[in-house]
Amino acid sequence: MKRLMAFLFSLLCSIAASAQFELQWNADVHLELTTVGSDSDYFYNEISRRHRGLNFDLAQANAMATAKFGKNWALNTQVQIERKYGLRAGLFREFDFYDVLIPRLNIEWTANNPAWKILAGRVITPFGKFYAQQNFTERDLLQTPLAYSYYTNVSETVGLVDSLGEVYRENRDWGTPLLYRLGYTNGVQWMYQLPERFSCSVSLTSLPPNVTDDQLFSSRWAVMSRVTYKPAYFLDLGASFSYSPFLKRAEWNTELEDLSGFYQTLAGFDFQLGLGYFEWSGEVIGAWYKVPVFKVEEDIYAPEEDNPIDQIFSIAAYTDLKYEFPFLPGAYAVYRFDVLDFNKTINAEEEEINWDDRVVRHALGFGYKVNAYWDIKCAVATQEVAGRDWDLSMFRLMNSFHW
Amino acid sequence: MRYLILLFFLAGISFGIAQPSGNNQVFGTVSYPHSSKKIKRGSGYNKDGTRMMHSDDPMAHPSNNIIVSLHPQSFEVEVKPMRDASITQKEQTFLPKVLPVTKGTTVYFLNEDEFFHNIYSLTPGSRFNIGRRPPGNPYPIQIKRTGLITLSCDIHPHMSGTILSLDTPYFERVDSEGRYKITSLPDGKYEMRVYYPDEKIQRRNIQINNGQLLEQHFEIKP
Ligand SMILES: [Cu+2]
Repeated sequence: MKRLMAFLFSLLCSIAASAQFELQWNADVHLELTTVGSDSDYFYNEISRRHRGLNFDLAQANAMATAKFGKNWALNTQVQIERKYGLRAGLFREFDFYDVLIPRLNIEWTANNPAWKILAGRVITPFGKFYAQQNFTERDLLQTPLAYSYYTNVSETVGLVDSLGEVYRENRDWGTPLLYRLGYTNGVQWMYQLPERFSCSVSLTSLPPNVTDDQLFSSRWAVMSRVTYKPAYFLDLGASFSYSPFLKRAEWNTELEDLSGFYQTLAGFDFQLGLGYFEWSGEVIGAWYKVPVFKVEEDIYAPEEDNPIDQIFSIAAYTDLKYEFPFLPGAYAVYRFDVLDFNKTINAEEEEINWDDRVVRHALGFGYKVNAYWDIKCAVATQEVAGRDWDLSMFRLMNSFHW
Repeated sequence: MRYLILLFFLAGISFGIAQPSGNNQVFGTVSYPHSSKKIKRGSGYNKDGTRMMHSDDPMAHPSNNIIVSLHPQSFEVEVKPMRDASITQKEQTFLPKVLPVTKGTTVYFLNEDEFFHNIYSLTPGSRFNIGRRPPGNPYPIQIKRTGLITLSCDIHPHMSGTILSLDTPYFERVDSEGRYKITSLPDGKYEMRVYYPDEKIQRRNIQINNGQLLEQHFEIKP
């Protein structure tokens, strides 16, 4: 990592010398009062129960540089420091509480007609509305939608495991959210973009959109595509698609000879409707997996003939209603209804059950922009997981100072 | 009789704020840096992930948005609201980037793009939010304070504009050659101010009498 940072730094210095160079930066520091339910966890509701009380910390910092070379070529880089896993972080903490990420490090070629573009290298996952949630300052409700952050019973190394979070809590993994676990990926992206009207992109990336691995090349390539269209000035529509081999080799899955047949397919639709001080937006994401079923009690994979359902499906949907108060400039209220559901499958005991528990979250947020450097945000959320009496409620009152 | 007294009284008021006579002139140049800032605060892209647009219109360039103003110190001057003050949003850019107005002026905001824009200001004393505004439909906002009022668009965070609200009728936009000339100035003492976008206002005290032609040069350093 150190070597990579040194390389990036020297790269930045050398491109800074080029004529058309621009560096943008921002940083976000939080002073936050939090009360969260006793079962809160990063993997359930994005915030650890250890995060209770008063906290002061750096939430995120970004540096973005673009250097243009002539009319057609450009180099884009972004370095991001982000608080890791929502853990409690006081004034005196280890640096280990932070992730240093590189969301972008790509070469961009723009055709003479600037609508056509090709990017190669590190890009922001080109599926759905993630870029709008990438920076903490842009999250009205502090949490991201369930599809982005709730860890389901599908693991990228094991497959489908009943109650995965409880079974493998200590040693293996927590499963995966439907998408954006990392948020960034490596690959080649082809784009046609008429800003504010129409855009289309097709990307070939090295990894599925919901894993943390970060190889430049892997056998789990993914093809992703996104189309956006603005039929009227008040309406934005988007559709996304992704397909990728999903399972990765680990010491506990050697029983499976060929992993290439296991895959994840995602399809998403999103919209945003604006009118005066109102904004209504939402996203629906369907995820299909073909994964092996692992029987925890017997510590073996279910034979394929005992798996009558080899394709499992999950659907996630959320909708946001936002209102800005015209009589109090800088203030807004936002409500989100968020649901994540799973289809039925046969478990190890031959019962027909949902492969994970349905989750419903209601969230309400208020915000006030004091000035260009200071926002006050308040968010409350309730989250219910079917069949569990987990307390995943959340209250956060935050002063966000950004530069 | 009562009306006569009132008339007399009003005449007295208008006499009271009558400007000193004189036909002085202040002229000169403002030189400015030719390269734009390479390092700045920002988030690098639009909220919806689309490429940012920048207008090539000359009124977007800082060099066409330098304002010279003269603020009388030795006499009071009547400041009337201006008419036809407007700012246009085009290609995700405020045009002009800086609009000088007198205090009390109503500024009309016009969206000339084919998509939504918003305008909000968090400047104390002039906080407002006009919501999402469709193409067309000028939207009026009265500027009730003096000083710099920063304009932003919630949909396109890279958009930034400024209203320079002044307590004087004596001001001018510096021309594309960097020259300015302010005429018909009464005798007296003034504070001269030069505003260049995103830089501190430069100030200088001057005195002019008897139809004087005073030359003043300024240099903006980044
Ligand atoms: Cu805008």
